[in-house]
Amino acid sequence: MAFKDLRAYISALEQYGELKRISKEVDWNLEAGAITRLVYEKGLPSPLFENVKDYAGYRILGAPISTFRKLNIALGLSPETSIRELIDIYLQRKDNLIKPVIVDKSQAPCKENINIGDQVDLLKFPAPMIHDGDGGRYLCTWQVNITKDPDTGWVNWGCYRGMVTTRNTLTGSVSPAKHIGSHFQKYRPKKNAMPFAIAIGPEPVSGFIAGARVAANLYEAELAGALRQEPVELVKCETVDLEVPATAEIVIEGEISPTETDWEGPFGEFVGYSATGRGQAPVWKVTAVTYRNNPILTMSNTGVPVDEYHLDVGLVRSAELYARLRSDGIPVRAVNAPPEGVGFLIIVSVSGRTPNIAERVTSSIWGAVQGANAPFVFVVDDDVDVFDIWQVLHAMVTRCHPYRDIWKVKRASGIPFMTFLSPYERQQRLGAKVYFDCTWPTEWDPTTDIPPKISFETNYPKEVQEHVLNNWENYGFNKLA
Amino acid sequence: MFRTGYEIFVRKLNELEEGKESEREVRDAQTYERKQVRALFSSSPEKLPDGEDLWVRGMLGQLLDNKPWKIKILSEV
Repeated sequence: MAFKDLRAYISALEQYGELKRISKEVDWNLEAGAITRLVYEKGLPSPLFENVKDYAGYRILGAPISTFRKLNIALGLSPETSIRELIDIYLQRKDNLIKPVIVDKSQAPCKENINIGDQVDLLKFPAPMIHDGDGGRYLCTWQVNITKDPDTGWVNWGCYRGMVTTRNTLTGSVSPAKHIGSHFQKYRPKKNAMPFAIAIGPEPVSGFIAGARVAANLYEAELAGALRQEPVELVKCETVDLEVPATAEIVIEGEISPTETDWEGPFGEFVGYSATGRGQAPVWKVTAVTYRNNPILTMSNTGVPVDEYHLDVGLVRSAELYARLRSDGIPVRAVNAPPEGVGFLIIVSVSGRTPNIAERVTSSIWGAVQGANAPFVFVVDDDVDVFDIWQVLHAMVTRCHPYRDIWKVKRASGIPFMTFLSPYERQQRLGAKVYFDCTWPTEWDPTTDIPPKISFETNYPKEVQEHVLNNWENYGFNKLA
Repeated sequence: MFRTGYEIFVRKLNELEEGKESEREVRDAQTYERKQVRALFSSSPEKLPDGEDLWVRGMLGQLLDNKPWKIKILSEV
């Protein structure tokens, strides 16, 4: 049974020991951000700030889905579900897209308070100063941004940061490389403002899937329905022709100006750095705000892994690339886009001994939307568990020839977040790529040239393994996990 | 607990001309409210004894000087 709203999800987190209610007064100015950052770095329960300085009646949920355990809970699974199982479940569920349903305004909690026009005041919400040195107070860090393609009607859900600038304006990047940017490119040349809606604090699967990189023209509301196995409930906006998740905590409606810009950023980002700097970004003019009573603002404090962005990568990118490789006829065993790789690293294991398989794998990955911006690819044999980074590292240093098996692409597309690029390359989006072929060469004779692997599983006879495991505690060791 | 005074974003530290009146955007270091001001700037507290603290940040948000500069706001623009 899917969670109907963020509050039901919070209750479940609490039941599983994954929520910490904080009744002590906490400052929106860096303190809430610092606590939340430490929560990510230590893998702790999500903090629910119930007493935000200067903002009685408003709450902040930090780190809403910051671990695979919390993601499993959000998806209605056992918290202990492994990433390997999670990928299978994602692929099974996504095949059955479920259209959202529209509910009446009277049934939509997000309409409990409605402020239109002059009544709009974004400053009433406890937008936190998240990182020291951010360009301003960010109200939008974990939410659903909704826009519509004016030609095709395709509605996109995304998750794009938004900084409060006045009581009725935000600024936020609208990069042409993002789906929202592809929509904006159809408005801006005609000097038309682009309608938008932002749903902060939706039920958890909608919030999760909005941040995932999926194919253009896919309506993420249907994918969220598929993953939660129930339709997402939407309600019509007050001032723009868009629909938003009906149980969202806060909804912001308005138009993105085709001409006006203001300062935005810097902001601590998913790569673990404040990477892209202060710049001019379009002004988002707010025409209405609706919100629940005692609303809960959701805050993702992006930085060094692992946070919400990295989990999106870890699941959706791994699953989508696995499906892609399989459909390309590659004997793929498993794919891992490890959260610690911030989306820049893909690890693939392959079965059998196919000549040039690493090149085929990499070509397929770099040709896919989920892999285009992954400059590092590791290809390993199927005896290596791609979800165990130590095994991958071992394979790299023992099977990848430092000269012959590292293949570099000097000129490729890049993104400004790639901190290893020079300032000029970042600005011009000029990247580079590399793949590491960590498979044994196919021309080597397996009986004479490939050395036998020495590990408990591969070296000892099954009978010896079973005997040792059965007697493990008799030797005085604790039970193996 | 946190910084007081004002903050400013600059591309390079030497953008701020000391002792010379200039117009810049600054923000309150506690509320983050932005203001366009005419002001005097100094890296030395002695040269602007009646000034308030000014924290100077680069465009990536990092502090370019670990000690605050001083700012004397002459008028809001």
